[in-house]
Amino acid sequence: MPGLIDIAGLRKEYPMRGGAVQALRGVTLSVQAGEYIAIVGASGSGKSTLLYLLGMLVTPTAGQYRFDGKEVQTLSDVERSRLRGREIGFVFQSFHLLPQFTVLENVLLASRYCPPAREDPSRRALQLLERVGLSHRLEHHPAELSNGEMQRVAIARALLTDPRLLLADEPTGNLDERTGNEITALLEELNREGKTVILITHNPALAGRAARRIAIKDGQVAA
Amino acid sequence: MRPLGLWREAWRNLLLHRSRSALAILGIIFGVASVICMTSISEVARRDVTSRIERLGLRNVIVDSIKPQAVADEERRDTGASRIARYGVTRADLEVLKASLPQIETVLPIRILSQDLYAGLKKAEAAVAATTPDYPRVMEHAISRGRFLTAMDESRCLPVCVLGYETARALFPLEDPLDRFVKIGSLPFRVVGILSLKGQTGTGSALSNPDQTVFLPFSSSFARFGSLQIRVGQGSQEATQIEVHRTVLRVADRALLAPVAQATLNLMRKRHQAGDVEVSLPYALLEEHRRSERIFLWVMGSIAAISLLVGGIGIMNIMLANVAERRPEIGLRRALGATQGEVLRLFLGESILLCAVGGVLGLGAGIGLARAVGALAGWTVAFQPLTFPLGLAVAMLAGLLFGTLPARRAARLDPVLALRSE
Repeated sequence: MPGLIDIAGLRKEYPMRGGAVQALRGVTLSVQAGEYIAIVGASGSGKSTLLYLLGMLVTPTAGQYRFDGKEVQTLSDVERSRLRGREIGFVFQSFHLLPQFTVLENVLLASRYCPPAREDPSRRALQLLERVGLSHRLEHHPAELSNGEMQRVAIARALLTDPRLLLADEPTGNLDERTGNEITALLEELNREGKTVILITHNPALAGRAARRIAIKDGQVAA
Repeated sequence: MRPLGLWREAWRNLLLHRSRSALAILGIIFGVASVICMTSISEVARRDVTSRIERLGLRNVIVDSIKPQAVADEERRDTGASRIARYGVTRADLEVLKASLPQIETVLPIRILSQDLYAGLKKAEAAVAATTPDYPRVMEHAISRGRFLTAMDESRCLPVCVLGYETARALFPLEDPLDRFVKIGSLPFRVVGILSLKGQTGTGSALSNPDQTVFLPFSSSFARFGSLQIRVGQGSQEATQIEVHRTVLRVADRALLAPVAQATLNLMRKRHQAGDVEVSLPYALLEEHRRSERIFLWVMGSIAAISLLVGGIGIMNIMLANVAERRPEIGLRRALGATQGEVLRLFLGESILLCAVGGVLGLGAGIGLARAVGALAGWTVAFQPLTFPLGLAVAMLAGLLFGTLPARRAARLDPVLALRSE
């Protein structure tokens, strides 16, 4: 059965002065809709490259990538960007909130390029901020928030366009244990509601809670 | 609340680094301000010169008597002996001109007398000019009150005069000058008219300000003051005989100007081999002035281009710094679905907006600066309306031009490297 994501023989090389560096050496993987996957591996193993490749921010050197049946390599920059904006939400270790905008504006930034199809973006942004417990912080700027609050804003932003896939790059890496657990619980809750979640983590406890673990070693799937 | 549009978002991004943005647009502000300032001040000079030339009459050929080299040399030697210097256009020349060039509609002689003008004991700083009744028509100078000199004044050599506007006000600030008597030299003349305000015509000579002149009949000047004008110096007397200082030839049709001027020049060269006559065309002066104006415009355009270039390089510099600093933001926008084109437009929008703000401030500064310079120098400042939209458009064009490189660099950033560059 074709999954949400099907990749086959995916390779990524970065040309360097001393010769090309092979970040991924033929990864084959299938992800079904609604899965909760942790990608683990040592630093420099290629797990981040894999994550951003799945997020269509990196173009593979060779191999095949199908997202929901679409050949991603054949899409133009505009088509790929729109598909990414609509179907994929990103959560980063360092949150990436823009300091010049308020909490609400940061969440709404996601609708700047891909407005949600059915709902009014502001109403949805308010609902999402209420859901992550920040409805009292709408007009605050990121500098006035704690790390945990910032990550919750970032999750609300990732959910604005109601994407099917959530990609999280070390989402608890900058958080203390308690806040990290809250964020993990939120991601698990979203997964239970039907979102496909793929995250990178160095945290064994967080990885252990994922239904499926993919270990990457030297640019290949280890187990 | 809607997501911010491109321009509002660009504005907010610029406000994030207020002082940096302000410094970046300084070059544009100064560039636009200097252009506005220069054009407005040169516009005044242009209008002034143009109107002075036009007041000389664009259908006229001007024949001036000039001091020949031989006379000037003799004056310089200054032997102390008394002498008579005779040169310039004579009454006989006028008759010859009338007889040989039928294209000339009117021959208007003007003779300057070195006499003082008084009303009672009050002396006026005015030139004394003798001319014929054709003066107002040929020089396009209207009468304000009373009448100008008439044919009868001329034929009977009557002691009447017409005052220039400023001279009338200077001599009779509180009374009506009409029918009052003024003294030219030691002789009384009755005021029969006052000319309207005209403004300077040409430059330099006693004839250049008709508003500070008293006019008397041409014939009266010879009948009452003789043909010699005597200046008494230390131990010597110097007499000059110039019958006509300036002759204005009115031509029926502007197309005939050049041929008439050439014919007059030929005729005068034949009759005045000492080189004491000069023929000029106000129309040609205007043409020449327009030519030099075009050169001036090129020079100004180059200065404006250089200052905007410098301003634009400043903008490029700041925008490159912005792109480098906002790499994670660029990565984020790409992750949120922004295309390369959308990232390009965002940064291009910011640099255009930055330059537009600089342009508007520059317009304001330019107007203020021009007014200040005008006030200090006592000039009236005239603004060419076209320079405002043009200045703004050029500033925005500089934003587009110099913002392209940074914006392209932003659009081509590898999103993953950009996200990790914190």
